[in-house]
Amino acid sequence: MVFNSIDFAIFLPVVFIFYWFITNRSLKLQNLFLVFASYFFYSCWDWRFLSLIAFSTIIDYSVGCRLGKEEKETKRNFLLCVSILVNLGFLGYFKYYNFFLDNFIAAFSFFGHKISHNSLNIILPVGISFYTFQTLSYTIDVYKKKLEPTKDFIAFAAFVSFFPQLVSGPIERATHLLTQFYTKRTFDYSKAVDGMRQILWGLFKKIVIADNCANFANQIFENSASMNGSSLVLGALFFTFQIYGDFSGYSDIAIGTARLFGFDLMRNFAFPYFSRDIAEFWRRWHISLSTWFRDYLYIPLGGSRGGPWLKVRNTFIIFIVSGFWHGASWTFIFWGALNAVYFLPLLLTNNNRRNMNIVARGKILPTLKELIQIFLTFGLTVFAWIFFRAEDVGHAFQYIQGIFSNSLFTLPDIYGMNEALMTMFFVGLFVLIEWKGREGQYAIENINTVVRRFNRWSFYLCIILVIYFFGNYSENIEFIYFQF
Amino acid sequence: MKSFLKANFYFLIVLIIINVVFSFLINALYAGNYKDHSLDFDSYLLADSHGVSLKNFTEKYGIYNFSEGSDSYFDMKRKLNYLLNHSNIDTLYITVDDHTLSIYREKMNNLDWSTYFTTPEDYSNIYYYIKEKYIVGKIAFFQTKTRSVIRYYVYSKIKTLFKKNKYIQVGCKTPWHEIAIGERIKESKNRFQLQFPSINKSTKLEKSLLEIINICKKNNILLIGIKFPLSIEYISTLGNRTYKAEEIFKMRGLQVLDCKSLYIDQSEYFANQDHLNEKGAYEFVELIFKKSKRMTCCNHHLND
Repeated sequence: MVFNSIDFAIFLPVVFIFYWFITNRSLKLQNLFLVFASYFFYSCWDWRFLSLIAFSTIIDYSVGCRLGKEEKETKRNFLLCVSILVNLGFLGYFKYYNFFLDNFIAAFSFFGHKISHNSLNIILPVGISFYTFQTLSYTIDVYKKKLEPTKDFIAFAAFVSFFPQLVSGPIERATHLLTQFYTKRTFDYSKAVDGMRQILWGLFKKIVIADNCANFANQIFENSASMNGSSLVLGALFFTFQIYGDFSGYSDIAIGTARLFGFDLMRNFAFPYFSRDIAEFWRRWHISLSTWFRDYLYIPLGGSRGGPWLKVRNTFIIFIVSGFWHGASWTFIFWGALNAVYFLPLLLTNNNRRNMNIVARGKILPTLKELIQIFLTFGLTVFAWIFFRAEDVGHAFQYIQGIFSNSLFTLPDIYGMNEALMTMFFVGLFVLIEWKGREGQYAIENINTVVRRFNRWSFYLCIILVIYFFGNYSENIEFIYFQF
Repeated sequence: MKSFLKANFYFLIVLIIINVVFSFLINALYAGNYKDHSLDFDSYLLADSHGVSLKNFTEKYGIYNFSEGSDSYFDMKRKLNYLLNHSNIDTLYITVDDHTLSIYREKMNNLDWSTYFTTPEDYSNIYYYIKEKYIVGKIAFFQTKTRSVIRYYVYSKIKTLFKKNKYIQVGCKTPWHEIAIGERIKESKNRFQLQFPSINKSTKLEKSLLEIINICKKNNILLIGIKFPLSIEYISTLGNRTYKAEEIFKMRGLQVLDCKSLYIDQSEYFANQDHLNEKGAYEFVELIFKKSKRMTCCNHHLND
């Protein structure tokens, strides 16, 4: 059940009514209902994988309880290892088994050893990378004594499976989300309205921006060998907005939905394409994952302390692991490594925390310097996305080679140019709205400051009509991050 | 909570009003007679706009033209099931044109409206039935076809405000054979790009066609495929491109009336590159259905 489906349009109000009008008498009942609704939501993809979530929930709950009682260091370490092994074991098997197998075989073949093998036909459970990391954060926080282990199994199960963010994040921390399941939620009008607004904006990003861009990005990447340079540049740009609209759109819908139920989820995107350097970009892109890796991998490795060599090592590790988290393919590893290369000069010259504030805060336009910085960072990001989208590393290099050919200065030649121009128009409009609203949590948050309801509603209606008339409703365009 | 529900209720009212306007528009513009049908015949013709151009000329030969523009094999399967339950159908003529298994047809069809002809038995569970028939079927906001039609209508209105609408000029006002050859070729190429967007055919549509064949076989219905006449310009543009619906029929020993090249030298029979005009449609019906409903192929008629 995807967010931009009729099924979800039916599911959401039904759950909302049950949640606020029927199960609101008791906190336990409300949490239990959320578990039930979340399991139902997930079962619409594949009910068989519910057992994975249930198993992961039981293991981490039990490990958490034991960690709370256990004082001996060796036993605590053992318990932590159990949780990590179970969670990463599932992830490793479902997501990386074939990748490692194929690469081992390739490596042995390279040295002249022929090994016969069979790759397994493994279906990747939707959202496994997201809920695995979420439950892991709980065990690690309990182990580090940053968090008291929960004794409320229902609340914990609801935390692991909470449907708005179950399949594509934001990857929540127990310290932030789990504690919200302990207290009774009261309905907050402004929060709910804000949630609805964010859902609407998320749908616009997904259906109008991402899915329309996907049409052309797919066409160009799939036929890149026969495309001219300017078309290839256009393809990379389309993909850049596709992935942003897709993933940040999903996050907006998730955050907005959670707000309808009285929950606050962490922010996942903060207008990353207006970043002035790559370090800022990574503070603004997929924030829940970046901070997860920072807290549970980068800092334990030593972070940016120590000598330059250690800094370089840690930076490469975190970026490559982050790339590999996205998928079992060398393209993601290359993408991660390329971002590490972008990031390192800033880190080594201590300039990585230079741009912490919002660009051109309180102003209509950025300065020329800021504009150049934004364009440069954006260009580097677009270039890196080519690796992310390509079928394999060879394809990425062939694509790049195609860009830097003589045909770069010819007119783009793609099928459906009128539709492409219309998509570009909406992307331009989208960028303007995002720029205007960059000081809020999401672009249209500040519309609530418009006093007259008529004006606000007219704006919402315009968005709905644009989604209706110009959205792409192809069945085969899923959220990109579902595959991760 | 009360004020939240109240605000939502009012907003919903606004959306319902827009929905009613859209539904009214779509009925007036396009789908007004989609549900019209007759159950008094024993022979039916199911096709897309190629069949629509035959109008009701077929009725004097006992064949009800149940075609509708953009009908896909999904829609035709629904109509066939409906006919099975409500009429005494014994013969079915169905389009097997080159484009009928196109991905384009998988996307552009009448699924939102053909739900009218469905029953709960056509779905794997009651939820899908209610969703398709009473939610998608009734709410214009969920109908992708509706939005395409309204969008096209608004575009054409805007265009006519600023300049003469070229499409209307070519398609409706100027007879096809009077249009310059270069323009005809251009129109044919545009149509070709629309109907043949990829090399691969739609497996979903193919599955539906096979189901139609099986239903006919099971219910002892005589099934005959028809390939409608195309203009010479469109045939040249097509070359040998086809998604091979015809092959599926031939492999199963089913009759196909291949009339694709029937009017290759008679441009005056066409309204545009791939649709017959009234005169052409009349002549076509007279030629194909006059003598017998069980003719084997167009060439046979031509030789007569």
